[in-house]
Amino acid sequence: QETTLRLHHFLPAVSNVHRFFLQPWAQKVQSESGGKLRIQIFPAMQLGGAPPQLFDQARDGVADIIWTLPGNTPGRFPRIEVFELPFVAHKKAIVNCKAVQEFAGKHLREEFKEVHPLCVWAHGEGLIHARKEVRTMDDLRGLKLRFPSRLNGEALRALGAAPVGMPVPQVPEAVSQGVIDGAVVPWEVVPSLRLHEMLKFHTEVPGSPTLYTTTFILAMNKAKYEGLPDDARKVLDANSGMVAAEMAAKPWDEQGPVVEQMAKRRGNQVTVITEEEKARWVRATQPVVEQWQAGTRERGFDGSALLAEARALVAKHGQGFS
Amino acid sequence: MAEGHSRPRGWTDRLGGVLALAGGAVLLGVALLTCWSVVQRWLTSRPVPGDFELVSLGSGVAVLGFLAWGTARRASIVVDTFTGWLPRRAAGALDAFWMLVWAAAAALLAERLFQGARETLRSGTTTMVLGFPTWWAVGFGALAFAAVALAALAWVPRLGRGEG
Amino acid sequence: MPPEFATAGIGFAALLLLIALRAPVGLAMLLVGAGGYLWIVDAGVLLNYLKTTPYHLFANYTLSVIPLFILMGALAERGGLARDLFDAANALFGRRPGGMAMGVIGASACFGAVCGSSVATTATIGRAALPELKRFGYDPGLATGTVAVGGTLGILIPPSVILVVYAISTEQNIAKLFMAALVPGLLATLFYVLTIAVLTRLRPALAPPGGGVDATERRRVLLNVIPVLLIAVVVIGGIYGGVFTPTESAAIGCVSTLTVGLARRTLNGADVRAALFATAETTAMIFVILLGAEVFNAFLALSQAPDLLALWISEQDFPPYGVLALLLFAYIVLGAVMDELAMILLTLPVFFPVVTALDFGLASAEETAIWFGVLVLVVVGIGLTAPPIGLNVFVVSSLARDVPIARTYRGVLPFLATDLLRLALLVTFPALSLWLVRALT
Ligand code: NA
Ligand code: NA
Repeated sequence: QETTLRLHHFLPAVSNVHRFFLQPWAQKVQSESGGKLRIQIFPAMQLGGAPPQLFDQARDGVADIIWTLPGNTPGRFPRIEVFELPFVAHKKAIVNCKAVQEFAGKHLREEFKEVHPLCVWAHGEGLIHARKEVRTMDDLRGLKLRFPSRLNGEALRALGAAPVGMPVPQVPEAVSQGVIDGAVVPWEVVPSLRLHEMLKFHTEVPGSPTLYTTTFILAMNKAKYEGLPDDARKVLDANSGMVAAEMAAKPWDEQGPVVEQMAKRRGNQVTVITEEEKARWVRATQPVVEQWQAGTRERGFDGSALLAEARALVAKHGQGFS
Repeated sequence: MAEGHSRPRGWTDRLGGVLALAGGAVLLGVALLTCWSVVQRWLTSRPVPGDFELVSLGSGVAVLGFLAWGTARRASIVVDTFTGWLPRRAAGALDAFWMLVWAAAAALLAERLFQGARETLRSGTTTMVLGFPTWWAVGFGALAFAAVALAALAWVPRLGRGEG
Repeated sequence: MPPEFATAGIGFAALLLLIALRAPVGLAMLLVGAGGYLWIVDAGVLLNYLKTTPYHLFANYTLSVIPLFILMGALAERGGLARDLFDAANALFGRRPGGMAMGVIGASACFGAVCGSSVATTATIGRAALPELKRFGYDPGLATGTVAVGGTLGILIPPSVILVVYAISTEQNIAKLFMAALVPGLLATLFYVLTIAVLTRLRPALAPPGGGVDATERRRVLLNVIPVLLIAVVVIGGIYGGVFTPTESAAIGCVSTLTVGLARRTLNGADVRAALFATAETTAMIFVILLGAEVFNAFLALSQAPDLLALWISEQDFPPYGVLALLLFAYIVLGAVMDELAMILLTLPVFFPVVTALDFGLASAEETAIWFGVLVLVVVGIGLTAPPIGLNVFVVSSLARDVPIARTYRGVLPFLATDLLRLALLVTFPALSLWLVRALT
């Protein structure tokens, strides 16, 4: 018989992740199951609730599958935060996706035990998009930047910027009104926030590790997963983990360069900071890393070991990528 | 929307009044904090850290605080176009019935939010910038809806007698 | 008919039935939404869904503008600022036929320029104006109808809570939407004034002359209105000049209204307390509806009916303007029976992609999106006063308890006719909405 799974997430149907990852993934699962599994995608929180509730919705069966950011509920998933520390992630999404997925298999079972994780991943490099050119830390001084996650906010503060926390939908308006001077996001998100139209300067860090990333999880309700017929569950398993992580990298690795070209065609300036400057940034954000490590000891696990492992995984999967 | 009703009476109405004033004070605090943050942004280019999450949290708590007062004052949109021909007692009986249903719904929501607060406490969820725990705000929601249920129950006999 | 439409249709029918049986609107949506949820999913899931939903719904940054704007309105009312506006408008227009009603429209437009909510505008202006209109013997239907339609200027003239919600649901730029709505908002003001002029010309008995003031009194009331106009300049200038966001402007509006009231000694501790209670009452009413709409919308999304409707429309190969007309008609029908905020939250995920995929001969999809936003705003304004469920009319009838609601609806009808005319104009000439955006960006 046919099982229908409801997939719930917070971005609108026009978003890149919806079009280039969730839809193709759902279609793949559907067709490989020979019609046994049907996945209905509900974008833009259509099934109700607010984004911070998504994880609990999967746990409680309010939705069968959800896509969310662990960072939406700060404090709740302390281990996966290791990838969101400054200068840990790789430039390429595909590297981060594989690294986080492998890490999740070893270290995040406890953290995500209330759900069945289908895929855990992270996006590629994030950039600073600002009203004025940012070449050095001095250019960042006092710059009001919207930050994507708690740790990235602390990193920006360490670099001298004035990080502003606000919900994503507020960003275009806040930029157009000068409430903030810019935002820190990957290229992929830029068009939907119209940042390339309002901000002329984009700053990236050369090479890897890059400034930061944000982690994601595609999670399924446990009982629903365990209750599936064997053959249907096999299809899901075949499309979970690394297979899904590789698909998940697409919106960032493929759409990112497209957006970058779009911004350049508008005459926007893309600045790559120098290697020496990058070294300064790494030094300046080191206290954020140390503070996080100290915090993990209070929470009863060894952040330093996790950090070393995260870096090793990024290096391992990053071989062959510049 | 019902305004200009009789003065609140009974302890359930007074509870609603206290919660509403507390919510109002928080809302005024939210307005002042926002102004302060704007001024500080002008002067020092650094807004108050976490102003957005404080505004969300504060206005949420304020709105929850307002709910019981809204019920005590019967502030709700009711369409009486189709029941205008009913005698006063019959309309009063209908109103009493819906007030009882509202009391039940609010009691259920209070119980649900209580569970939600316990889970939020267990999961250790905090706000993004300041790292404030949020379970107590969910718990305040449970209290607020319990007060709504009480204020609604207090109305049931009065409406049944054709008052209000 | 697909079963999805039957489920959604039964839901809507049940909602109307409960409302007709005197169930409060928010409670009715909550009950039917929960019932539909139970029907499609099950009780355990519904109970889980409700665990933190009310908290997360209420503690939402974007929605925080609503209590703040309401508080500002309540402080303005207690501090006599709305009354100052009405008195000044009255001093300028009061002596002409229907002049006091025109004054209500003018005052509503000015208040709409500082307030983003139609309910708050209706309540605030209504409290100041209704007793005066009654004292001068204005026809109760005209008086309450004018206040009700004037209240829609609260959203038609930016800032506007509805436009903010539209911008968020469709990822459009709020500032551009505000710019686009400005000319149509002024057009609405003009149409309402003209409607009153025509009505009172046709039936002078509706509006007995009077209400005018002598030169000294006129100078006094015009001086008195300066603070509220200053607040308007600060709040609107701040938004357009890139100084603050709508929530910040609402907060600054609250604090400056409070400051002016305290400085002029028109507000004391008891007034502030009363304003907080009034804010609590209106806010509770709106947020109970938002909670009901949240659950009802979750049920509708679960039913899949909105998606199938969008699919069906896109498959019919209708001409673009035919689809637009169909959607606007659907909005007018929905707006008659539904809460407007709920209506757009519910329909935009369905209608928006349909519209932006069509070619109306505009420069970009963004222009189509902005133009459609203005059209949605206009139909929402219509829905706020159209029977049987017109939120503004309910607010007015709670203020004028001696006027039967049917009388107010009759008073609204001539204005509704001009609303449709204005909608037709805005559909025919997209430039009315878009030229300011094009000129300023
Ligand atoms: Na307005
Ligand atoms: Na209506």
